Amino acid sequence: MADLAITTQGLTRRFGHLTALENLDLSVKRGSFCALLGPNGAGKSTTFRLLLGLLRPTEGEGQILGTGLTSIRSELFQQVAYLADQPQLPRHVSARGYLAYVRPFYRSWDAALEQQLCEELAVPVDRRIATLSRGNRQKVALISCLAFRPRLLLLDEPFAGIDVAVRDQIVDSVLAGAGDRAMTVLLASHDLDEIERLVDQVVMLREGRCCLQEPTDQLLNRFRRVFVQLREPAATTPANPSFSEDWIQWRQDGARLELVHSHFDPARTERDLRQQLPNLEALSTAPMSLRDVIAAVSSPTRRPAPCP
Amino acid sequence: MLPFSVLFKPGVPAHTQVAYAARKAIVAGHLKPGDRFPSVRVLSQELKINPNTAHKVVARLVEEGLLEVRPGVGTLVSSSTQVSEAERQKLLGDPLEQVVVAARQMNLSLDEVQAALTRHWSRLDPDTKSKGD
Repeated sequence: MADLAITTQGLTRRFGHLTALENLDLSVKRGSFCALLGPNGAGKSTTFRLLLGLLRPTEGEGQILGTGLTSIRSELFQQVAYLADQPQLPRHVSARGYLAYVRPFYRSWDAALEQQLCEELAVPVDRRIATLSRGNRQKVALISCLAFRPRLLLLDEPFAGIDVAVRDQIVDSVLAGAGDRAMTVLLASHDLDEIERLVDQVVMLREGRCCLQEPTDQLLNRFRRVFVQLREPAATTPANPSFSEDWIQWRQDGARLELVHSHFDPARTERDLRQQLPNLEALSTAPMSLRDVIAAVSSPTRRPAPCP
Repeated sequence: MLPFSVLFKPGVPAHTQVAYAARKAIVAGHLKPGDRFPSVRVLSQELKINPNTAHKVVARLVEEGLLEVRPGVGTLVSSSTQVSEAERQKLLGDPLEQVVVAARQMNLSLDEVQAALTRHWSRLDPDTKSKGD
């Protein structure tokens, strides 16, 4: 287990009749950047709060950096940083004053890194936080998370309401803080284009359940958009039960078909299709961005996409 | 600055794209034997990819024999960039098929494809280039 930064077993949290998170088995390797995806209300924030010991699990258990979730002491927060989706900062002090206040709490605070990040992010350190833009406030909160060189960083929607230039700066700062695989990152975000290259693992929650947990490269390799030209327009739509459930999402326009195959393999994909569509004339495939994959998996017209 | 550039396309794993760009720079001679290859940290920050992905790129190129790790020095471009026959075949299979498909679609002859191939070959070949200088 030493190589896992986060692990949970059957982690479940109910609020009365509402199950916010059900039976989550999560493993995040040390040094990994893991995306936590899912629509609003899917259980992402609940997961964060359980991992931080801010909520007690109803059932199941888990460990972060080897510490059980129900035995987290303040000492652990020397190594774990959490950037909430709406970070609460004192309004009437300057960024400089806030960082000076936070600094003594951390034994491993790296003043040089703090200085470097303040400069790189161009934070107006002498203005009162109340007068700062949302982006600048986010930067101040991020600096306070990175400057003590945590081993685990939890980011809840770090890009929400942040402009593109600042998003790039945030990514740069996180990578500067991560160094050579010294930091593990769990990142909840809806901004899939921002994170496609950043994360090496994707976890997706839907209605409190995990529906996808997979390395990013494997996920991108197995999904393809498939374009099919038929010899003549098919009379019926091929919403065809004999198609295996690996085929999700279709659209048809006369003799043209557009599908998503969730278990792409050059030979197998074509063979499967030819079997199902005897009047297939031509077929081509295109890779899909992480955003497209997630959209296909979540679309209401989809068929179930089984995890391999 | 990195000694090679990567124009990322969505949908293709980042490590595949970075490794390809590095291979291209090495075979084209932009990175020469003995040149220092960027560290995991530099790759990750310059390309905005996570350090694991950067590590995967380096590990793969080392495995392919294009890079070698010198303890205390860093990662260097190998002096003998001999790629195994199997590796070479694997590297060539997909793009060659794409070229053949595109060429047939456009009704190009094999001669025309070979001529185009020769042009691209000499553009990347450091020897041809230095003769031309």
